[in-house]
Parts: sequence; C-alpha cells; structure tokens
Amino acid sequence: MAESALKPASRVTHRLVILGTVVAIVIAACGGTTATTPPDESAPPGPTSGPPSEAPSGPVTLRWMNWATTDENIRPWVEDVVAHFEEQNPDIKIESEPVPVSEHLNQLVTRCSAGDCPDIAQVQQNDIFVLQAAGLIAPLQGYDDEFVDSLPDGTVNLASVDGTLYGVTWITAPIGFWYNKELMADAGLDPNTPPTTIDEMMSMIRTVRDQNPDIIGLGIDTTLRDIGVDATWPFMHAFGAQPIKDGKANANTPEMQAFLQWIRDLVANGDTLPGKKFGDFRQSAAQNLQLFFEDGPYMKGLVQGLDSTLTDELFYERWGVTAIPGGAGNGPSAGSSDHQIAIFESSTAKEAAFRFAKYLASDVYAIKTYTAPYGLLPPLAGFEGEVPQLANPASQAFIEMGDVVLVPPYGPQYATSTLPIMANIQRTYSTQDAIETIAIDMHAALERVYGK
Amino acid sequence: MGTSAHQLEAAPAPFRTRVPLAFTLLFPAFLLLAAVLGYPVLYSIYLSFVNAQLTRPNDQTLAGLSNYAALLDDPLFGQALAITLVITVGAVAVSFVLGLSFALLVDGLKGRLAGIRGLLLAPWVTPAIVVGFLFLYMFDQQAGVINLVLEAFGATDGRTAWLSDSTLSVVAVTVATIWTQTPFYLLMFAAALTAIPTEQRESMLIDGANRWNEFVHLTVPYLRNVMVVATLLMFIRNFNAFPIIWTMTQGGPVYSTSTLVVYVYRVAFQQFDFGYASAVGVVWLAVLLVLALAYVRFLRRTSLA
Repeated sequence: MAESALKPASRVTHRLVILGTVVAIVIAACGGTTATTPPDESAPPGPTSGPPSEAPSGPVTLRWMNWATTDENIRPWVEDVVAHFEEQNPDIKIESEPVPVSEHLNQLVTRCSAGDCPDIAQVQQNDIFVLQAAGLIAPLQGYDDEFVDSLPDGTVNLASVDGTLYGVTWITAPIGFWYNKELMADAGLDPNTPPTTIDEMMSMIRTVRDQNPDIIGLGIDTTLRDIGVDATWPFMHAFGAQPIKDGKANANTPEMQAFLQWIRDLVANGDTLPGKKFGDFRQSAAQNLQLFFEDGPYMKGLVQGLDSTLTDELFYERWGVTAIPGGAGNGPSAGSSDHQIAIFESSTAKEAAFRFAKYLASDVYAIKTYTAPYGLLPPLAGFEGEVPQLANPASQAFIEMGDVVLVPPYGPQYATSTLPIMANIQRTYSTQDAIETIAIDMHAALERVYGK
Repeated sequence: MGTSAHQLEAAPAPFRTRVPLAFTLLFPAFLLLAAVLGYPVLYSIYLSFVNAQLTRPNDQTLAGLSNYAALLDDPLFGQALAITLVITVGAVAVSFVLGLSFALLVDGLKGRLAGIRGLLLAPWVTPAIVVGFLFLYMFDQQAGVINLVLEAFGATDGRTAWLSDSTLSVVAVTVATIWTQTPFYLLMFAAALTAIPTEQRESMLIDGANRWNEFVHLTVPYLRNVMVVATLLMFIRNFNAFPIIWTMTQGGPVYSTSTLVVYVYRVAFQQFDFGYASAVGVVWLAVLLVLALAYVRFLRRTSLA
C-alpha cells in the first residue's frame, strides 16, 4: 500500500526535476548567445579604414597566434627574435600563443566567433581570403605605405584581396623541385641538368630506378589537405590542367585526364608513395633514397635535422633545387607556401601589431636569427650582405623561382573545393575507376561549390 | 498487510520531506548538466536550421529545413554513415570475440601469471592519438612492420599500400580500433567470470558436461548482461571515434574512411559550414540517442529482474 502510494508522488518529483532542467537549459541557452556571436557581425567585411585612430596609452600586449613556436627546435630562435623586438620596443609585449599548423585556421575562426581573437596571427595560403571574407582581419594600407610599396608584387598579391593588402609577408617559401645530384650522377645522368619537363623527369626516374628500385622517384603530395592542392597545382599546370578557372569548375578536360592518368601510372609503377604529405619524403631524402621531390626552402634545415652529418657543404653537393618541371605548353613553375602576418579587426593595438609584423619581415636581427637559419627567405631582397646564410645556391634558386610561382584561385570557396580535388586525385590510385569518370566526378563536385 | 514496528522504524522519510530535499540536492547537478550538455545540444539544433557559414557572418539567415534536405542529396553523408557502421560493427564484433577469448584464457591464471591480465590492458590505456600513430607507422608501405613481416613469410610479393587502398585502409583502421578496445571487453568479461560460482561449475562437470556445454549453459548466461552493456557502450564509442582515423588516414583515401565524425569535422572546421555540420550532428545524435535509450532500457530491465 505504501509502495503504490509513492507512484504518483514519484511522478511529481520526476516532473519537477524535468521542469527544473528545462528551465535551466533555457536560461543557459539564453545567457550564452552573446558569447558565440561573431564580433564583427554588425560591420561588413572588407576594407574599413587605414591606420587606426586608437593609441593605447602605456605598454600594450599583443597576443600572437603562431605555429612557429610549436617546434621545440625552432622555438628558441623565435623567442630570441621576440625578445629583441621587445627590447627595441619597450612599450610592446608579445604574448605567443602556439597552435599546430594543421589546426591554426579552425582555431582562429572558431575563437574569433566566440569573441576571443588574437591581435595578430601567422597565416598561410588561403587563410587571408577566408579570414577576410569572415570580416576578421584588418586592411593594412596606411600604416607604413613606404614599406608596403617596397614589397615584391608576388608576395603582395598572395596577401591581397581585391587589391587591398591584408597580410604582411613574413617569409617567402616557394615550393620548388629538389633533385638529388648524387643519385643522378650514380645513374650516369648529368647532375647539373635537372629535368625541365615532365617527360624528361619520367625518363630520368626510369633510368635511376631501373638501376636501383629502392629509390623513390618523385615525392608529390597526395593528401586530403588544402596545401595538397597548392603543392600539386604546378604539376597540374604542367599538363595544362586547371580544375578551377575563372571562378568555375574546369576539371572535365583532356588535360586533367592526362594529369590523373599520370598520377595513376606514377603510383602503379612504384615511382612515388601514395597518400603522403610532401614533408613525408624528407625522411627518404635524409636517407639518400629520394631522387626528386617538391618542397620549400625549409627542407634544408629539416633534412639536416634528420641527418646531423649532413653539413651545408655536403647538403649542397647532394641537393639542387629548381622550378617544378613543366609540360608541352606550360613552362616550369612553382607552388607557394609563404607565411604572412595578419592583424585582426578586433585588436586595439593595430599600429603596434603592424610594427611587429614589419620587424619580423624586414629586420636584420629577425632574418639572421630565424628566417635564414631555418632555410627560409625574407620577402625583401638585398639582405645577402648582412646575412651571409642567404648567400647559398638554394636561396638564390628560390629567389629566381619567385617569377614562376603559381597562385591557385584562393577565396572562401577554395577551402571547400580542395577536398573534392584531392579526393579524386586519390581515387586514381586507390580504385580502378575510369579516369574519365574521375574527371567528370571532380568537375561535378566543383560545380557544387562554384555553381554551373 | 500488517506493518511491524521494526519496519516502521526503518521506513524512509515521509514523501513530503523527500521531494524538496531530492529536488534541492539534484538541482545544481541538473543546472551544470544543462550548461555543459543541454546548451550545446540546443544550440546545435538551432544552428541546424540556420545558414551558419562562419566565413559569411553577415549572411546568417534562417534556413528552415534546407540543411536537412541537403543531407538527402549529399552522397558523402550516406557514405559516411555506411562507413561508420562498417567500422563500428567490424571493430565491435571482433573485439568482442577476442576480448571474450582472452578473458577465458586468463581466467584460470594464478600467481605471477595473473600479471598478464595487467599487460593485456595496456592498449586500452594507450591514448588514441598514440595508437593512431603507432598503426600509421606499422601499416606504412615502405617501412611498416606489417609489410616487412608479410614479406619475410612470403605472404606478399610486394609492399602493400595499406593506407592508400580504399578497402585495405578500412581494414587497417578497424584493426587499430580492435587493438585498442579489445582489453575493455577483456576487463568486463574477466570481472563477470569471477562471479560464476565454482560449485555450479564443478557440479556441471561432475554431471558429465564438457567444456563447451559449460560455456554455453553456464558461462554465457552469466556474461549475457555484461555482453549487452559492453557492446552498446562500445557501439556508441566507435560511432564517435576520431583520433585513430584522423591520424591514420584523415578519412581517405578518397572518402573510404570518412566516418560521420570525420565528415562533421571537415564540414565544420575546414569548410566552416556550421549550419550543415549541425544538421549532420543532429541526425548522428538521433542515432546515438536510440542506442542510448536501448542501453538505459536494458539496464532498467536487468536491474528490475
């Protein structure tokens, strides 16, 4: 009897608790709305004004999101560079916020959406276009126009949206074509004549691998990443393929089919390892098992890190670098992996932020301490006298490559288009699907992004 | 139905006292849950009805059911759901069998040998990201130990590109998942096995039952509840598994290992389409809720029994 009397009462308890929970949820839901509202929703994205009128009194602290300090070997160099800047600018303090390079863009976008933007950030590739479309970063005209005008057009174009500059190029890093002179010479090839066309390259790979099948012929990025497309773009260019052209899908072409067939053959013949980042080939490069591969100027420092016996002298005896081979109609070209510094609209210390960005890009101490030792290039020429590390064959080759750097059609839609491009490139070697079908499907997927 | 004095003394406090007390005690917990669980869930449901592209902050309008309609036309969503089920069912089934087998094997271990149980638990306590890297290198085409072993035994005539083949990559990811979760089953089954009375086992054997009969008619009935609970938990866990797959294949090659969670991550954090990602998430949540309800109902039924 006591048990049956409790049943309706339990129901009441149950309902009261549910009611309390619902009320709590509603309260929590209402209370949190403002926190997730993008900070710039009221302001249209795009150029707003030149230099800010804000002039914070007293020292300012700049929150700097970057991936340069995530590598524990590199971090001391960057910290040294930052310390020197703080000495020169006692009114500015830099608070470094390390994030992995693979996570930086989503952290920036989501953090800013939650109203927690840094003042400045290290960015690359398509980032500036995504962040500008989101209205998160500030235009940089008006802070130091003399400095901006001195920057090479190529680096300015990579950091500009509709003619407005949104990023200061910190380092220039074309993606070039490294060739192993020792392996070429061992196979009877002229080590000082790297291939300039895909056909020449394939012929050299055949010659070397026929003698030593353990050698990896070509290191090419075939991962499902944005930078995978950036790095593969010059190879597509060699075939005349251009998956996005004039803001439209353009993948169902004979040129794209030829490129896809080449990738399929490359993997089938064992001339490359599929599904690898271009950085993955540095290990085989350090083991002297890599004939050709695409990589940036930073490859030198990283490969030397893997093989401590590889002195500068030995490195340049073994490795040369040039532009990525071209094709019948298109000459050699290069990709780009420039890093820029973007300043956020929400920052109250944009002038100080710009000063720091300019320092990173153009100060001799910064170039001598970080840029050059890492094997990178400053955006401005003419530092060879003050920074002897820049006077080396690889740096000179990369500087010359600046004229043939290809820029993919960056923009907000590009972030959505890279997955179908790389997924269909992977399809060439991971399935038996007809090449024609793959090209058609890539085109259809890009049409869903860019419209018909 | 008489009530003894002893029963009256032991009876719980009157209902009128208990309701406010229970409510007061539980309310902070509910408030906390509402903030950390309820709010994100409700906000995700709201976002699923909005064009919430983070790269177009000024263009966030109500989308009605269009995000859900887009799901129906999205081949990648269907594929992701199918891959999730394949990997989940494969991993859960094999882990179950292996976990049970190991539990039966180590059940009789005594003394120093009992330490093997602890050793077998190592994969369970290894962080998933470490497991991902471990198997990434093991399945590496050039330097992976799996290819080297297969080559040494003459099982293959070349080095297999495990992670670059649409089918083999699913196998590789499933194997890594099995490795890490088999100890969970082992732990659960090993604990449940200790609850079987020795007398019953001995009497069955005295009555002429063989080991198989003992397993079918004594062990399995004792383990049945644990089997169901552990399987449901692992089903839910696998549905949400991300680090191993992301580390090993990033959902590739093509979309062959793109599970729902990988797909949502890509849409939300690479394409910044939070509206559509939320719609996928809501459907995914619905599937998991069904499983969670089954789990709760089962628990309630067994506790009543």
